[in-house]
Amino acid sequence: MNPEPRPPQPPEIERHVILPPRRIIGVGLLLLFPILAAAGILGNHEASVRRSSGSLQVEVDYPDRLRYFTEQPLDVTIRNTGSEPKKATVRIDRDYLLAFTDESYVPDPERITQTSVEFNLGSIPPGETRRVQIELTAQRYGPQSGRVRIESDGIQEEFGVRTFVLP
Amino acid sequence: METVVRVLVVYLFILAGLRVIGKREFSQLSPFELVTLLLIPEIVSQALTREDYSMTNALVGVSTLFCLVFATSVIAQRSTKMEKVIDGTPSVLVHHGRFIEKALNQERVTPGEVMEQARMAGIERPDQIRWAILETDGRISIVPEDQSDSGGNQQDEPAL
Repeated sequence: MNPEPRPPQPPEIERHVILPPRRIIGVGLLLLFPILAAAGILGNHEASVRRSSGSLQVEVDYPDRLRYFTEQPLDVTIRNTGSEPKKATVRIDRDYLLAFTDESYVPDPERITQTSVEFNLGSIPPGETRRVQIELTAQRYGPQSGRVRIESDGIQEEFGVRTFVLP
Repeated sequence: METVVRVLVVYLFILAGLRVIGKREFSQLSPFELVTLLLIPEIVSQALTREDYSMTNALVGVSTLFCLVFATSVIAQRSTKMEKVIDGTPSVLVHHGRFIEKALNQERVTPGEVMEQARMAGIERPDQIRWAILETDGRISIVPEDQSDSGGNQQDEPAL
């Protein structure tokens, strides 16, 4: 039986990869993106601040890094750890919220002014929790910062929130 | 992280898929082949980016793809075995005017297609073909009997 015909073969060479310095830099830069993404540096990330104000325990969860046009919630959770009912009002800087689009509020805001969006949580019975949730869809690139203020019985507590929106 | 994994998975899937369907799909495309290749990006684009339309996501996806392409070429360059796995090997379709049925059927190439390429090379009869080879990129190379005879290289041996 005849062996399968083979055309003339190319000569063998010692195989190794030669990369000029410029290409090494280029490949390094290209590699940077997947590496940073794999490390989570280019993805959405959430931060949290927790503090007690009198008998109210307040926790603010917010996106500290967000990709353009992706969404993440801003959550304000208030728990009354005391023995008396407490009234609470939450105000969030409007400037900060304007960096986002398609915000949906739960519950509906009590009022929206030039400077803030205000939520009246009413009286929180002892041991109970009230929550304000805002879905944020990143719209403006770069660092966005603002304040979340909680007011209860004339005492005001302030939380700084800062979100970096990746393009 | 998810984007990197998705691009990696889709890249390997497409690479394997194109290797499986064969070399012909890389070359001149029939309408069926063209539609197939046009549909692939449409189908996988949602899987790659989901609903993340940010520039960051696009850059991560594209750079991951470039890195994979580069890594594939480095692997192929470093090892003959891997070069064959990644790029495939050329297939001899005609030798000294004899059509090799097994290769033609395996590669789904008709004698008519070989003769079409032969005519483009100025050859009119099968016995004028010394080699017709389906290259790894899907093209059919034709080496005429006359040319290799007149070239003085009668031996099918490598020349360094």
